[in-house]
Amino acid sequence: MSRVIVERKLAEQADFDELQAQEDAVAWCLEQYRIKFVRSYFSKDRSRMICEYDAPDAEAVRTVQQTSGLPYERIWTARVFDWSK
Amino acid sequence: MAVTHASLQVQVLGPLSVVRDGETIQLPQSKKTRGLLAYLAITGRTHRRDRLCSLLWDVADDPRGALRWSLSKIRPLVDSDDKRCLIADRESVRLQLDDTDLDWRWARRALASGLESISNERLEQLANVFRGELLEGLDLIDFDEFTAWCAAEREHARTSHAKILETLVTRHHREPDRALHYARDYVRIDPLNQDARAELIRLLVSVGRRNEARAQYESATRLLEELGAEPLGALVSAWREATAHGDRTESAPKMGRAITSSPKSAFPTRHAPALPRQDVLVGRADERMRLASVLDHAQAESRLMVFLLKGESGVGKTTLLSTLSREARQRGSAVLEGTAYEAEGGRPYGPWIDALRRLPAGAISDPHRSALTTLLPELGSSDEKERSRDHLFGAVVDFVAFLSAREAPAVLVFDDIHWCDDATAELLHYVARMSRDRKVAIVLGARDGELVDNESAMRMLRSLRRDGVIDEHLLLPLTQQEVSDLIDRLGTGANAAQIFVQSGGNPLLARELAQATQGLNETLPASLKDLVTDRLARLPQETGDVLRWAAILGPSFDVGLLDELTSLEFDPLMNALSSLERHALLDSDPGSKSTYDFHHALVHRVVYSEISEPRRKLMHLRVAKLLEAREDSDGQLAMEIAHHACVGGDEALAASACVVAGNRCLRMFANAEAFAHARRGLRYAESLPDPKRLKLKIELEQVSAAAKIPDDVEKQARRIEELAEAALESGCAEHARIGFTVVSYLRWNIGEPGDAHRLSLRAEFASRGAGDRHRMVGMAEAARCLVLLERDVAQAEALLLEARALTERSGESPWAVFDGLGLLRLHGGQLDEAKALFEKALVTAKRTGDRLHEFMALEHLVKVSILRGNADEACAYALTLATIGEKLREGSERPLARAMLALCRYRKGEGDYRSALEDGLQQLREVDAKQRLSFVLVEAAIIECERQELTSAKTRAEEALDLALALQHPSIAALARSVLLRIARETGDRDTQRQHAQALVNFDSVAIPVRLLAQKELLASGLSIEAKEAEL
Repeated sequence: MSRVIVERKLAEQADFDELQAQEDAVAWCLEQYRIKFVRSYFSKDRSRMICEYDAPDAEAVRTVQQTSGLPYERIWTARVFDWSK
Repeated sequence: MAVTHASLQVQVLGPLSVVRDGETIQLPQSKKTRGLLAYLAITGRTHRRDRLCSLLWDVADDPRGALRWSLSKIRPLVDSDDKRCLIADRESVRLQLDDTDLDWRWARRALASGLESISNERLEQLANVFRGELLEGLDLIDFDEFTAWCAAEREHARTSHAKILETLVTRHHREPDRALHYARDYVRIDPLNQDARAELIRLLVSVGRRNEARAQYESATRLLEELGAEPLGALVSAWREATAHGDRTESAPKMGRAITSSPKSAFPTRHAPALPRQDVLVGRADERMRLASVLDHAQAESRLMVFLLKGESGVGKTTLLSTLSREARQRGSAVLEGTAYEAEGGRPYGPWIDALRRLPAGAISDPHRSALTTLLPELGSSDEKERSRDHLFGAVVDFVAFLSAREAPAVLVFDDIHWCDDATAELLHYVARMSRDRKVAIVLGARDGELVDNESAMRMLRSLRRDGVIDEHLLLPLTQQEVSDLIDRLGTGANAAQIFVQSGGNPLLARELAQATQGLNETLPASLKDLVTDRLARLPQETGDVLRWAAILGPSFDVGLLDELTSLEFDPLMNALSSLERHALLDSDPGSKSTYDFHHALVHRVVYSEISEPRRKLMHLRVAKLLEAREDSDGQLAMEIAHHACVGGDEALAASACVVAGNRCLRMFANAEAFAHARRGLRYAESLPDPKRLKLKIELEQVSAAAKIPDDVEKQARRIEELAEAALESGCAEHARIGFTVVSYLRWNIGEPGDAHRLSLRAEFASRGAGDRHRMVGMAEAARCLVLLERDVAQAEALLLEARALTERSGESPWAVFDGLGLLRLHGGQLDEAKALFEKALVTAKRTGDRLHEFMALEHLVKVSILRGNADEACAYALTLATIGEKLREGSERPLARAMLALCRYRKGEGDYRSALEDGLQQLREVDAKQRLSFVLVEAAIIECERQELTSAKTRAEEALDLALALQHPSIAALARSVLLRIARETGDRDTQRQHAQALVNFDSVAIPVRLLAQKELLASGLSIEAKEAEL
């Protein structure tokens, strides 16, 4: 599985709950593609967001993002360096 | 009459008969063969062999062989040295008869000029040609098309006959004695025609037979009451006229139970005293000894014994089997005793169910109770997980094993197995196979001539014969001495020699003849039919009516139901039943207090066929309505309701009962019967108004698909798709959804055809909270996602079809519908259809200005062009793809477009596009688009393999395989393995070859084009996709 990062630039004052609802709507699709949500970072000014997923590839995440209509700027596969462990 | 001059006459107006040079020829005992002869004779045209097969042998293992067999039996009946009537070649069959050779055709031709122009003498001749109902007794109820054709012909013949009789009655109205004969016949064939009855009453009064006129009026009113109708003006005024001419104090008898008082004397004094009820067994010492030795051997050797007792009807099979059952019980055996009935072919496991129900209370103990609930729901509920055909069959075997654990063997007696349903035969066969080393005796009774018509019973017998475990015996007619002994035992004083000659040694007929002659010095009727008819005519009216209602209910019937149907109070009804029992027309069932059986299936048939068609129809309808009103949560009554409603002409009730009956058969794992119910129901539903027709047809198609996958799946799927779309148009969304699910099940043969609910829930979940069109788009997207992942393509198809049908109603379908369906067709190998759908998707994307969708439609067009082997077309699409790809934002589109274009050019061998391809592949790796990357890799490997660049091809195919395995994408994995298998074969690497071959054999659910390629490679390695691992 790859760690896939989605960078989003959001319209001003985006509502987190609305985004969550949009994401929930494609939960079934995520499940089909075997994509697991890991965590999100939401900037305090509510204009940027980074989401992390575990997925078979970045393309699967792209496909679901396109289907859901969620805004994104870039999607890429990352290597994880976790020095805390 | 003209027909008498012909050397060959085929008579169908009455029981089917063939007469050559004045001699009646013995017909084949196979009912289907007789049905075929009648069908060919009456239709008179050329038929294709496959049509005839579907008419009468739709479930046979070798329908064309069965047809050939039947034709070989017909040929000697109709062909002579100087004239061939049966014209048959490899494709078609025709029975060529002259107009005068067939009574019905002769009659129709004579009537064509109009009744007015026919002289009285000729009309009387015509009336005499109608010897009874068309093809009397020749019902093949399991064969819908034949039944429908036969019913229409019968109706036509009856109407023609009625018109002839009506005209004769009118023309002879000045000669009442002469008219009376025709008036009676007219009432007999159309007893509900009140005008006909009124005329008969007038004629009877005019010749001074006022008592008979009164009886006719009473009979008519009782009949009308039973059928829920009122006497109309013509009948009432005929009765008034009649009474006005005679005793003025006599008023019209009132309708209702008051007129049907208990018969003081059940039979007129003219009638002979009753015979002993119990069947008298004479002779048969050899057979009894053999049957006893079956029990002895089973017990002494602790092994299975199977015995088949064959013989013509009425020869005494049932009597011998009953004697065996009695003896076995006396020895301490547990006896399972069941009989198959002709009208119960659609009741799966009928004889098994009856046999288990007849066991003494408590015989089925706890460990077996829950396992047998599929057959006997009254035993309680069972664990859903345990409901399977294997479990049911295993449970019956265990129960038989339990019964065989006593000292005496378990005895299974199944009579009339020539009529048994598929499920019964299969279960019987299974029990026999699994009980080889147990103390079990299976004794079967059958009419040998009719056995050939029952494919499943024949299959079971063939297998038992092959295994050498069955002993067979043909029961011959009685000798003259035995008939004489029988007459002595009956004590009727009849002339034994005369009875022997007339009965031909058939004990049933001999007994009937003996009864008919006792104390009377009359000419004996010639046949069993005449004997029973004669006896019926002598019954008091009420008792006769009870017997007729019983005949409508079937050869075995429930008294409770009979009580609700007849106009008699309970006591008079019981008196009538006792009388009928005393006179050997009915027998009470020893195993059930409330069940009576007809003394013999032949007696039932005679009584039933004596009821006129219109009256029969109304009586069946009443039974259907009565049963419909009963509680039937498990669908046990549905089969009976379907039968009665069908004969009664209530097509809506019949079709909906067929749905319930079909589903019950499926629950009992009786697929052949479920399929038959579905097909029957579809025929009834056809004439109903929409949306009722659509709903029922969809439900019946669902049963049909679950029972049997059709031969031409695509044709059937399209038909159901049309039904589902029409259902949607009519506002039946739920039924449309069921329809689409059935289509998807048929196309992919995955999941369950009854899974619409699960599907809709998933679709709802995938698109919750959205408006209608958005919901449909969401549904289509969800489905498309399933196809891309090759997961549950059947669900995807159902969802996409539903989304398309729903969105088309409000304009254009969304892109996802076309692209998704295109992907499905691509998966199914229907490349032209796929291409057309992707083109539509492309047009839709362009119209909406969605570049990404446009790109994906083009991507799929490139793929489909590659698969169709059209390199130029693939290149052209790839070029457009590349142009759009460059304009799209960050993602995998640009690298994919570059790689695809390079791949297409690489394939065409245009310049050196290898480095461009490598660049494209590398970029795809970087953006981590594994599916797109693996597709390009494997296609490049295929090209290189063809060019014998095996090293490079191998590297690419191995990378593609790793990616496909990570993605769990079966088709790309199979494609990559096919390439690797070829490379291993060509390089002689046996281990790798075996490894990939083994993996390919285990792939199921891959796209059809991939499957074909894999098959080709396996074949080249000397294997097939169905190969077993051991062969590898």
